[in-house]
Amino acid sequence: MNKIVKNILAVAVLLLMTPYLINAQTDERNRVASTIIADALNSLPASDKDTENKLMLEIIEIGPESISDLAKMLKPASIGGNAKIEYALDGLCDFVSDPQNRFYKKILSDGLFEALDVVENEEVKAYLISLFRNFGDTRDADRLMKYAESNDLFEVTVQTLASILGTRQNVEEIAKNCDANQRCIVAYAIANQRVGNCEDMLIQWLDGADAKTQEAIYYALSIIGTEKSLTLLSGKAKSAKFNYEPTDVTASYIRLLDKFANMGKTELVEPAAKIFLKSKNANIKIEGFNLLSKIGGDNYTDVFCNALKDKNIQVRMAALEVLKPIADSMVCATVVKNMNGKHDVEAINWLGEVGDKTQLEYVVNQLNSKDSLAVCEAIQSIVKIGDNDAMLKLVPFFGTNYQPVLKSALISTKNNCDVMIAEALKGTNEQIVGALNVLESRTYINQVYTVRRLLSNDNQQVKGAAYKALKGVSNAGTSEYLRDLLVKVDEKYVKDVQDAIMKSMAYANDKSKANFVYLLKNVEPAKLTRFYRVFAYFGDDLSIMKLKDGYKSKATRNQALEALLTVDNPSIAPTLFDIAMNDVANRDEILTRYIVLINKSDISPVDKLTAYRNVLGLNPNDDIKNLILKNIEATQTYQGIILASYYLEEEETAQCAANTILNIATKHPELNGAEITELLLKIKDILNDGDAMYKRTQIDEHLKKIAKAPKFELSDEEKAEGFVVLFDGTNLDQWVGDKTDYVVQNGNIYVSADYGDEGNLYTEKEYGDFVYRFEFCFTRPGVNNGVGIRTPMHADAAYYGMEIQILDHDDPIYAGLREYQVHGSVYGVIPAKRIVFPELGTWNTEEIYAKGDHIRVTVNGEVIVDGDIRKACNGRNVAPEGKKGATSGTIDQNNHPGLFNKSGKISFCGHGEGLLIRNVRIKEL
Amino acid sequence: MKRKEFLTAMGGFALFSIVPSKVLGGERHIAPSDQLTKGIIGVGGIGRSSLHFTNDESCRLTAICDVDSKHLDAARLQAKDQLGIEVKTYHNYRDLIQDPNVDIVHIATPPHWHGIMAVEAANAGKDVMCEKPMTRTIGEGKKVMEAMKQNGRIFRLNTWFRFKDTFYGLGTTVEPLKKLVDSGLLGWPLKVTISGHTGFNWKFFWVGKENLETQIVPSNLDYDMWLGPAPYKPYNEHRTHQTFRGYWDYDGGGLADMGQHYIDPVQYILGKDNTSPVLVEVDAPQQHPDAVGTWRSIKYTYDDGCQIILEGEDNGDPKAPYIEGPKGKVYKGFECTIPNVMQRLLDFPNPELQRTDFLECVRTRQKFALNEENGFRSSTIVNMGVCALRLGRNLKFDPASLRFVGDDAANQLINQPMRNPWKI
Repeated sequence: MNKIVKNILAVAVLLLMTPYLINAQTDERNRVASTIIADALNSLPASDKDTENKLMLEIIEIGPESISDLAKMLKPASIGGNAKIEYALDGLCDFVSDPQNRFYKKILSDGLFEALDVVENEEVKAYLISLFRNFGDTRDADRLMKYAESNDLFEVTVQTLASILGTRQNVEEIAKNCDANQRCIVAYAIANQRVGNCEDMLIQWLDGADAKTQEAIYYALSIIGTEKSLTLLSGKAKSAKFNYEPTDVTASYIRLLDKFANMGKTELVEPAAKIFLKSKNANIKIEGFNLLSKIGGDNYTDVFCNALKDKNIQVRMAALEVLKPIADSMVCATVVKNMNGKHDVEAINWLGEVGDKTQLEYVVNQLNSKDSLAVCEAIQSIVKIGDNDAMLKLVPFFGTNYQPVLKSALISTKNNCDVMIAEALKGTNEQIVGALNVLESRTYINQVYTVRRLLSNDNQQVKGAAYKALKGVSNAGTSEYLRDLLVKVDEKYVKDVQDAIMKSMAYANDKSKANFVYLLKNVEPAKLTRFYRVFAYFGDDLSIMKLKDGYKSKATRNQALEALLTVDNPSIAPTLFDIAMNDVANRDEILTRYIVLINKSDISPVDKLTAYRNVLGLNPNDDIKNLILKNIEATQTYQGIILASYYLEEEETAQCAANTILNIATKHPELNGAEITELLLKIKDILNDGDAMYKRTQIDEHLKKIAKAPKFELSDEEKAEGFVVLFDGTNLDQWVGDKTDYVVQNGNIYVSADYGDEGNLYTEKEYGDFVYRFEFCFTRPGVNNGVGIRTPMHADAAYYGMEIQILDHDDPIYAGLREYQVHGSVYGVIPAKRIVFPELGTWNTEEIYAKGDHIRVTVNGEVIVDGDIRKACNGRNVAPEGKKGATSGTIDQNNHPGLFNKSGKISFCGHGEGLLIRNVRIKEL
Repeated sequence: MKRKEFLTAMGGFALFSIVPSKVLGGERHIAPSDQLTKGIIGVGGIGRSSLHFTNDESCRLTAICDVDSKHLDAARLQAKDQLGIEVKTYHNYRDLIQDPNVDIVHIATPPHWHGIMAVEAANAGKDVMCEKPMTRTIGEGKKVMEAMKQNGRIFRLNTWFRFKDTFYGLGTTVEPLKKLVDSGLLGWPLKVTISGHTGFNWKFFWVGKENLETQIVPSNLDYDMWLGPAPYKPYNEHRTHQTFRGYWDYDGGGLADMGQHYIDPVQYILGKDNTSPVLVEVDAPQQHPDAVGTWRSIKYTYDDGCQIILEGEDNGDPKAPYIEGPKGKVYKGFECTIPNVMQRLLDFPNPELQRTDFLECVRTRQKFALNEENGFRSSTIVNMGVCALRLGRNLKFDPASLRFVGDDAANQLINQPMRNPWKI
């Protein structure tokens, strides 16, 4: 990125000195403007921002002509096929709209305007005009004005102008000259640019305007309007009875009032708002409150409070809403006064939300209400407000129908509720049980001694609830007590005490765990089993050892195993496997847990596979086999595929195995051996789930990707003639140069060159006179490459040797191609007969015959070049020295100093990806 | 009792509190006069789904609207056959909005209509249920928020993971995640990764096609009205029903269409319902101006350093945690690096209760759990990503002014021009 920024800045400085880079010349890669554009189009869409910036910079550096050339390639939207050009133009707009590239804005503008002058199709013009929305400035706006004169371009031009910052004058000028049927569009533009001068004109326009235009005018007036508009809109809205109707005038009236309210214009807003309050429409009344609230809510407390008596809940709730920010004790008292006995639920809820303490008496009284909703609401508000005295009044509700409401309030509040919990724990048995029930879900450590006392309560319900509540009164300080308790506790409370111990040890480190375990040394084995669940929870080495010991003894084996299976520590996995080896009865259960732990563990994929293989060796049940097969996928290894492949035969495991193979193989195209191909073909027939169709397609696609072509061998005739193979589909051993962008893939040379590298691949040897044969295939439109012959390395073959063009010259991006650039041409020297290519993806054969000055090119059996390079340029391959303005004799008038080279390398000269080459062979003459 | 009066009468029974009515035991009987009614705009895919195409005692379906007469006919028949009711049918949504027999307007159109319809429904005094994504631009979302407030309307954005259902790859509801984050056990700031690896699919098959050929508009479709405020483009069926998601003019691919499902709960978990990120960074191939493409990653950063990272399909770290804080991480399946996390959480309060019964909210005029304000904020995150993606560059954002900082072109995307004669 930095590099690009620097580059851009450097160019920016240059730009200040010269209008544009000289475009008739070539860039540092010797490409002429049209090639740069074609190359860029060919590389779009860019794979990332840096590439995009680089390509856009290349285009824009050429100057406005490049932009206008691009724009001129656009076809009307109804014909389409513009995607590449749209990528380029949109990319250019994005590029110059980036604040750091603002220097380039003018080039883009000039180019687009140049094209706008020439392009005739209105759709294309409209598209080009719309591009200015993104980056245009006032200068562009002035130049765009003339397009507003065209009826077809009016909307896009006005909208574009309205999007550009600072175009008030332009919009105003258009407003003055537009027709009645264009006023709708213009009114929105006036609103967008906030053209204050247009108010009177807009009002005049209302005369005879249709509903849509009225709607637009009212909207514009609501944005730019003064008091004059307010009066007008007020009248219109009143006539519409403030209802929603096609001109939406009420909404516009409200918008303007809102604006004045924000400006603090009380004298304008207040009377209007008060009229709103008399409306039958609840939403209009509500806006009345909103307006008054905006211009100073505390002046209208009475108005809001009176509305609390309204029959309509919408009105009451809106009034309560505007009262929230001004809720002092006076307001709260009035709320209660006005709603008491009629709308208690709403009042209580509101008092809870504003956290008022002055009306607590009222809220507490509502606890006696006959309306169960009011009681619910009061309970919640009291907890929310968090006043201890009030909360004490909630104690009687523990253990009643209201228990769930009370509990959910207590476990989600941040307020301290200890006092009322403590009180409840002293209450009736129902209250005690209710309070204990809260402690089950939320820690109240201060109640620890109370809860302990309740463990010995005579009432079985209290006792049971107290045990369940133990975990809510547990922390590190209680673990010792709980340990002793677990030894002696009645069997039915064992789980509750275990839970409490687990809670108390939640933050314990290995040392305190070890200490805990150590202090159990005197516990008799039968009682020690009660700690197994705790040991498993600890999961440290010592605890695990205790469990293993327990497993060894027949008396405690089952309990120990049960605990071992809950240990959430992968390090226990080997132990589980050992146990599984011998414990046939429980084997499946143990192995299942083992596999889960292996999958979770940090060991390498290969080690995981070994573990899975070991389990499979025990021939477990199908569920386990399938679990393993699913887990194999996560290893993403070739070995995993092979392991899974053994389970394709049995019906019960075939689906899992097939899916695993699919999900590994398709993510690893480098695994392209014959075994993989075979397996994929096999699972195509096996897969039978709901997505099987989709998966079979996926396999076909993948197989295409990894298909290995057979090695190319010369025909007997060619062998006899003395041809030798330069590329047989397997390697680039006889080639040098860019081997990172020319890749052997599926028996072809795939050109993936994507800028950056030199992009040329050369034969290792040099050749003078020869017959060179190969096949090529375009995999995407617009491919540009070439065969360099008699060329040195690291030089442009077209000039320092010869380049026999390879080009998908039918692609629209090459619309402006010269005859000596079409496929097969000796680039710049001898034009080729323009051939028609078969559809993309088809292989073409080519032969290049070079003997002395005689060059012949044959494509798909058709001779398209047959000429003499010396005659073609009258022997003048370079411009005569010293003569000003003189050019070479070549058709492109460029110097071709290497044209008459006796010999050199043969190369492929890349301009981007998308070319496949195969079966390359040569015969020297 | 006349329908007009029903709202005034229902304060008595309406359960105001957040606690579900069944807590008190027994099902309430709803008198016919206390029923709410709804009308659905857009009865194509989602609007006609069993989830929304309902009619019951608490809320009657009275009207439907579509610009495709095939959809409208099919829905009318469905109402007759499956629900046993006759519904009014409309072609123009404005007629449905003005129908006095509609209390709640359910907007199930493509997203480019959401903003306009929601605002107009509010102006007409209707409550609104709107499908996700809330709006297609940040500017439209702001207008929806203003209109709801002005008119005192109840709004529900229809995604729900912040308050119910298993949250994709997490294998749990959002509640324990929220509780864990609120507890501070993970530390601060937090980084949330939403990717295939953490259990979220960006559905990149929802991309558009370039070089669409022009087709003849089917006679059952009012294409001009279907486009509405969107720029005119020649008809091709791929632009419309179901596949509209692949075009920037109407939606924004998997990012826009699934984004709010995935991101809204994150805003809630992080406690960011009142704010937005200050920076969005993108890594993606260049986007076509019309057809939505794919992307590699989109990274959001809040002013306090919290981050939300979206990784496109098969992108990003396969071992990335879903939430990462300085003191702990949570992985897919709620695997947490904090030992004994469930026991530890017992020491902390549960998240605040949310109001999750929309009809109850309509009756009692309380904000729904996912409303126009927090919905706007999560929609804004999605739209920030869309803007950055379309421009192909990183953008700074001011959560207070709701504008991008120092980038005029990005701000052009906040309020996009609407085709004549539409406005919001």
